[in-house]
Amino acid sequence: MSFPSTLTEAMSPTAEPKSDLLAKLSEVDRSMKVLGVFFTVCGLLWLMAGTLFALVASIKMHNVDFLGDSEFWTWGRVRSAHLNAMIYGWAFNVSFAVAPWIMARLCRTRVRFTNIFLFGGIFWNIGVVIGVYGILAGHKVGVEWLEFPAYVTPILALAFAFIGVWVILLFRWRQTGHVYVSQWYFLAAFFWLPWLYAMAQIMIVHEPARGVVQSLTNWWFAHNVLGLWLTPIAVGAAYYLIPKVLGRPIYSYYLSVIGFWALALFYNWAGVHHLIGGPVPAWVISAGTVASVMMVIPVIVVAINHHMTVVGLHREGWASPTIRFVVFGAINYTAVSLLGSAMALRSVNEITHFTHFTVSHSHHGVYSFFTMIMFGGIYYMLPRLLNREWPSAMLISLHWWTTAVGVTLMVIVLAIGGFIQGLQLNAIDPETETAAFEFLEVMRATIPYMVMRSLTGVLITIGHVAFFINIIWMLSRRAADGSESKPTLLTPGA
Amino acid sequence: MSDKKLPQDKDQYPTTGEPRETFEGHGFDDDRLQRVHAQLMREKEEPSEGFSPTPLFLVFVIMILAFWGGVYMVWYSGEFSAFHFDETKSAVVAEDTGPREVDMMALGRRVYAQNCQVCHQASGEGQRGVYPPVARADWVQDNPERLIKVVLHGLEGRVEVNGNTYNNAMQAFGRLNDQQVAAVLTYIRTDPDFGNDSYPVSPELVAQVRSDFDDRRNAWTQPELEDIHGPVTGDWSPPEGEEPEEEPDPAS
Amino acid sequence: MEFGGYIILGAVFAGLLFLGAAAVLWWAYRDGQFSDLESGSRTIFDDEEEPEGAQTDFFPTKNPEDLDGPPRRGE
Ligand code: HEC
Repeated sequence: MSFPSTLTEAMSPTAEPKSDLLAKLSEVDRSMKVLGVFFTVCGLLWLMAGTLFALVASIKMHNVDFLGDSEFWTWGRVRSAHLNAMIYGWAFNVSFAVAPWIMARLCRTRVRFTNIFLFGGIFWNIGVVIGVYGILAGHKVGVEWLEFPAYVTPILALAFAFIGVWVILLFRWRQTGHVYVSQWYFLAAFFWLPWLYAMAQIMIVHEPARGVVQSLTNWWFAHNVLGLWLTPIAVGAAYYLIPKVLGRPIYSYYLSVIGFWALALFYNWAGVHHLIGGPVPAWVISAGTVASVMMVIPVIVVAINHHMTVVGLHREGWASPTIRFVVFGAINYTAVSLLGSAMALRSVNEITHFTHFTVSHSHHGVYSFFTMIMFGGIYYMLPRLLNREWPSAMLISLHWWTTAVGVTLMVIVLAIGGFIQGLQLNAIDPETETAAFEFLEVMRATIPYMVMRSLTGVLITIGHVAFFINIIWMLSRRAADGSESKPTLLTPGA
Repeated sequence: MSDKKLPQDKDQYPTTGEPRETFEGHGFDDDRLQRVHAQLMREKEEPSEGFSPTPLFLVFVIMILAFWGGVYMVWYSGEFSAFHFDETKSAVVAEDTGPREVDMMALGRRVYAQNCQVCHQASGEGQRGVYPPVARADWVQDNPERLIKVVLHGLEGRVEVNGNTYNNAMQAFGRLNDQQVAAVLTYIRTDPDFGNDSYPVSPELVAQVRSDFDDRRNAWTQPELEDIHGPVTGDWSPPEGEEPEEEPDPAS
Repeated sequence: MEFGGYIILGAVFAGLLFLGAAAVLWWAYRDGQFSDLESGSRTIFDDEEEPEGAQTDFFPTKNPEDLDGPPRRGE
């Protein structure tokens, strides 16, 4: 097999010798091996770090003195460290592992010049390390989702360029005629994110816009990171993994086209609903609310496709770790999105805004939906990349049960606590016509929920540790030989 | 697995016009044909894979949402004005009727609930030995300037209220504006629930005290206040000729 | 930047994005991406390695047909 020797040559579609045009899936997997493992392990380490920050921040909500005498571990820093480690560390790394891998498989082409891709990945992680350290050291930017100090953003932007270009190149090298719906989602995501990030950095950090435009930009960005980056990555992955694992095509594939374009059309508007009640022109908020509710359309489409594909194959699905995680994620995508549309209505938002309900919602989205699907993706991907079996079924089971139960409880606990909190904050004493509850009183009432949240956090942490052990164990084992049962991957003789 | 699946000619590489080696065409032997055929047969059997037309309910959902969205935008457009923030009100500005009369008692009650109630309690009774009472308190019914100083700058050290001694500290509430301070003091001085029956306090007086003691940073102590205003008697009336108009007439 | 500046810049970028999306849709349509979705949905399968109708993921050591190839439904 001869590879084109230079990048420019490789980019020209006619340059490849014919025998190289179409790759077998196992060949594609092999070419992603280093990258996939690198990003998975980086993501895994960030997941563990982010979990630690999360626990500390959570405990501080009910035991204020906990680590209270250390400047590094003050709540304002740990909380942001948690958010950024999880998003830019875990979510991005795992996306860089799973999305390009699925992309390459769908394009039926080997990933070429992986060193450049890897280079981008290394720089990305250096950037995140500096950024998280910067947050803990007190250099953070006081804008939610953009807390990384201004000095790391160029590193991240550059690193993302190297990574993102690879996904687009992969698409350029595709050997298939049909563009599968996951490819649409991934391409769009890798195109949208740099756009979002650059806009937000320029308009908030480097050349700040004045007044409400700044906060509009902030929430446009923060919501779109979820909606135009994490969502397409996870939905795209589910669109691939569900039919793939079950061996049954998507239930109503042509609907997915509607779903994709409806997402592209509506999501971008929705972020403004974070500013309901703020001094933003009323029509801007109304437009945001309408768009948020319109998101029901793509959500229903995705729900039909994901759920109906599984219908009738539940027993089979239960036997697959990937399907367990992915279907859990898909169900929660439906739930969290419909809930989100409801929360964008002014009357609901007045209660839920500024309460733990919002926190519940964001974990519902980023964890129950995105992270769980990505766990599923890793369970499917790693055995194929490494050509070995997962070492322990028990650890996978433990991982699934603790995280699924843990995050569901957390979401419920925070939602209930947050809703009560919102009602109390808004309550008016009819006699005095003043606030019925003091702020302190309302806050004290949330403490039991905060304690329960920490407990669910411990449960989730157990799951993460199981996942961690399983991956490290798997990496340290030698490739499967004949004596072992064949791994989940189906490459006879490979 | 049929011809229609092949990409169109213009997409073929190499450009010589030869069809690209496709996955399907590669080494298509008998064996393979059998398998593909078997697979096609299987696919036919699975009804769940049918591509039904857009489900009717989805069409309905889309229609209803679109209708709702339009109505919502019309109702809550704020007339698409860049400076209109309250979607429930018309963007056309109502006629300006000048500044509104403020109900000092209502304002005072709110300021009290938000700031003072934590310590002095809703009843105004305070807490024995810790927080002195404001209800039926000699201090409260004494010289208003003394109270303004207490609220603006705080009070600390040994304090005697209604004959009981307290030794604690009250924080400064300088961040409240003149009207709020005047309102809360008027409220505690005159509200019947507190059993106090003294004179209201005007925002002007607060403004004056504030500017007179502009550079004061630390809290007052009882001796300091007594140096200025004399001992607390709980029986104070405004000096001759300066009585506020709306003064409640104790005689009638 | 002034208020008007944002509006103009925003309009320009919004226009570009919109045109971009329209161009992509047009390309997809011309390319026949939407013409045969039925077989499109099956492009993820691979007759040799991961065929349609066969489940491809199991808990480790739980693959029911471990030694004699992938299980196929409906056979
Ligand atoms: C942090 C608790 C706290 C808050 C809040 C507080 N106070 Fe006090 N207040 C005290 C304490 C303690 C004293 C007595 C100070 C001392 O012992 O030196 C006091 C004394 C007073 C006095 C003089 C003694 C008396 O009881 O008549 C007045 C008047 C007073 N406070 C009014 C107010 C008003 C009005 C507010 C709200 C704007 C307020 N306080 C808020 C704690 C508080």
